[in-house]
Amino acid sequence: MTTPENDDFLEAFFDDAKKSAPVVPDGLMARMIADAQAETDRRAQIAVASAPKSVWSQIMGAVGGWPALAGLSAATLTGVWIGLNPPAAVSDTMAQVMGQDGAVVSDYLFDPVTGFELAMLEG
Amino acid sequence: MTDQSDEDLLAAYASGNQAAAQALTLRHAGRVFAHAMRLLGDRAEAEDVAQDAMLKLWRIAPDWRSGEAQVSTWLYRVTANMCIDRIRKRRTTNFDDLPEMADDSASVIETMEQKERHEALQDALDQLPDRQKQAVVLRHIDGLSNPEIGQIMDITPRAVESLTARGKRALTALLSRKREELGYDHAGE
Repeated sequence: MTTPENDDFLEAFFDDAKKSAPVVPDGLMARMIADAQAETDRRAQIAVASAPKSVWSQIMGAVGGWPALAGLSAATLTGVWIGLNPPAAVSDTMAQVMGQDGAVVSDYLFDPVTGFELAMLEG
Repeated sequence: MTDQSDEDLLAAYASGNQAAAQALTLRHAGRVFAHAMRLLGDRAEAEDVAQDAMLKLWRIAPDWRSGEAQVSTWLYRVTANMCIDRIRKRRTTNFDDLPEMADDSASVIETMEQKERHEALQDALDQLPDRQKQAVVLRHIDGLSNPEIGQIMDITPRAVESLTARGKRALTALLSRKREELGYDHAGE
């Protein structure tokens, strides 16, 4: 049973305990603040990893990134350059194929007997 | 920062403001550590619990639901739960590592007496059932009201009153044996 006397007796203990509040150890607050920073950094990393990708970044991903894109660009430019300013060997061959210079077209470049003619021969 | 509410500071921290985290730490670290220290009676364990409690606060910050709980109440609850988990894992307490006294000016003898009384109280508190101990510490040492303690312990204020009354009766019985030797013989006269 608690009596006023007992209450006073206990209050004296409690008062002592209040006066001698444990002091926060050195470094504990610093560790707590460092945890807060680390947690912020962790959330930022998760946000970056899970952010929806733009159309451009999806294209980049499909192509294979910047190195692959550089190679693709170089190949495209080379193709355009050859188209605009073809080397002599390429232009002669194409001219022969298209029959633009009146020369005899190589036997290797056309079929002397058409499918229709073969069908007629076979009856 | 010092005039902002805990909730505002927590929201600011969730948006990346580290100064808000510092302000919250300055505001709550002391009472979280002290509460853990009183429940556990072990400095190293109390440090771990206090750091973990604050870490839980940092983690919940983006999902904190305004108006549902006070930050201080939430911290008391988290701290107490972690302490009770630890106490249940080890029912022995190391009393060698007592908390440093806040008042450095006390004489050596006074400090020794205070330390002995503190030991006796901690010893008696550790013999109480966990919930009684938690209620007594929150009510009579941390100075919280019964409704506040009810929120922390998830019980009604009337149940808090009952717990603290039983706790005090048990403490009286445990401490009265040491009454004279601890210099409390004339307390309250």
